[in-house]
Amino acid sequence: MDYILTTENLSKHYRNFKALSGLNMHIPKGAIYGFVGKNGAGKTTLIRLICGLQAPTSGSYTLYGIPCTDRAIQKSRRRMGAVVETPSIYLDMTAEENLKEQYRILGLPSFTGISDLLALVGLSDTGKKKAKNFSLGMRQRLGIAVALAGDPDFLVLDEPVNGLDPQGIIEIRELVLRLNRERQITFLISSHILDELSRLATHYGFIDHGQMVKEISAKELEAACRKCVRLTVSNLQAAIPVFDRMGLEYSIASETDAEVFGQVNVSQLVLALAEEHCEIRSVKERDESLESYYVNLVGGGRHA
Amino acid sequence: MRKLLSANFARLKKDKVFWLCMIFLFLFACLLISTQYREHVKYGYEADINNVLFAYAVLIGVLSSVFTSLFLGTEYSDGTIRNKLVVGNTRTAIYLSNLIVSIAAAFLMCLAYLAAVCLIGIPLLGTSRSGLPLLLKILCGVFLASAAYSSICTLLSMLMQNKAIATAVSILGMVLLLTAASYLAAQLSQPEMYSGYTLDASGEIVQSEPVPNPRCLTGTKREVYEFLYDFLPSGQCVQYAAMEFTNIPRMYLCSLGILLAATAGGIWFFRRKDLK
Repeated sequence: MDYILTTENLSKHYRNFKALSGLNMHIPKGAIYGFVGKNGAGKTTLIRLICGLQAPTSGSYTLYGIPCTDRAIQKSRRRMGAVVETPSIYLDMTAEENLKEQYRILGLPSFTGISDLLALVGLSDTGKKKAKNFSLGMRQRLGIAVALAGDPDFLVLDEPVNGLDPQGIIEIRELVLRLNRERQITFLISSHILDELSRLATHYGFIDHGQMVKEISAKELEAACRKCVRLTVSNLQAAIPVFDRMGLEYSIASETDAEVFGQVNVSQLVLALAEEHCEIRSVKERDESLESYYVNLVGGGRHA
Repeated sequence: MRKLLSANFARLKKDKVFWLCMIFLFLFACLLISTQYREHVKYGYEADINNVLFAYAVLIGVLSSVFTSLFLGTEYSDGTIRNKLVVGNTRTAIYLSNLIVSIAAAFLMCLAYLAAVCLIGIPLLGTSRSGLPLLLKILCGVFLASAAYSSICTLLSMLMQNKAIATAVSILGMVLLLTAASYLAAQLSQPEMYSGYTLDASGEIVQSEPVPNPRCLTGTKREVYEFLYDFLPSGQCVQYAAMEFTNIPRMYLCSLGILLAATAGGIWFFRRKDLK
């Protein structure tokens, strides 16, 4: 698999505080990678490192396959864009002036793409309005437009929907999905708004205390979070042929427990098992969401 | 770096603080010239353009500190320095491009003052009687001193991520430098001897025999004070403004030394700095 970004035992310490502690991460090309973790887990620190704002204390990362110790990484950053924490825009400039400034920084020969970029993020009609008078959502979208100025194929968004109203959240979501679909841009999106992330992400990385707890694709997560019935039975060997006969999808959880996926007709199942002299000792319905998956992963006492 | 300079100069062109500093220096020159001219007309004092020609040198440090800290501080307060780093610009290139635009802005402020001198001062007060080579030497010195000022302000603004603190420290620093220059000037201008005046029995004022002035600096102490007066950009600017100096090559070298040391130190620290 082609990876845009990989990290290996990446650590960042601020005096005695370990913000990142041996983090391993793999972002596949074309993915929308949801980076999940509570406040202070190390999400923004990782983003600062890969954007070149800070240097790692130890460990390494590769961007487009180029190690961070290689000087060529500076050039490879030309292919990425980022909105770290707050949108990086000049508040006393208009949206168009901000984009012109970024075009100059990138050394682009003409400003012809600016109107398209403004249209893409829905800021075409802002005219001479200064960015300081923009709403939070407009600033966020302008920040994304600035990050898109160099036509990047990897975009890093740090908490992009924080503080946005529902309409703003929808706009950002649609923009991300469109860019991923139409321009094949790979996204790294850090967030602790799990419901929102679950509508976007194709891959997830769960971080806690500066360490990667789990990396999982959306499909794997979906399988893990599927609606299922957990059965505790007296004789599992007898129950398995019944499951097969009824065409149920199941997995064996222990010597007495099985998880049966999908919609289960419990009455029919109880009768069929009774015929095989297999008692059902307990039935629990499980409907795991990304949120409960995350809570189970990092510990119930600590929520995102 | 060419791209960063292009972006910085485009921003400079629209920067309000820069234009306010330019207008302030232009108006300051107009005020000094008109005052000189009025005194010439009213009291018959000899009109001498030299009295106003380089007066801006005293102010350039403070104006440079205000402009540089606000202009560069915006990069941190608005977070736009990240846009430069994220797309692969080196920290050295970012630092140097910011330094160059700060120096250029200080030069342009000097030119705004000189433009007023040329447009209004020469028609009203006449041309300078000092030779062109001397004027060029002083002009070169003022430019070097303002470059040294800019390098100090750039260092402070690039290493302090808080715009308000960087601005306060820069302005305070420049005021302190000016105060130090005034103190050094006062100490160095103490006369070697002084005479006392007494009233005799008949009520007439009698001048006493000159006696050595104990506050007059001599020996190594004087040399140290003289060096500091030539070394500090503020000391240099006071001398250029008065068009009175003894060792102009040393002042050039000191300015260049400050410029190089502040830039080298600034880049070294900036490359190691954790940015947010």
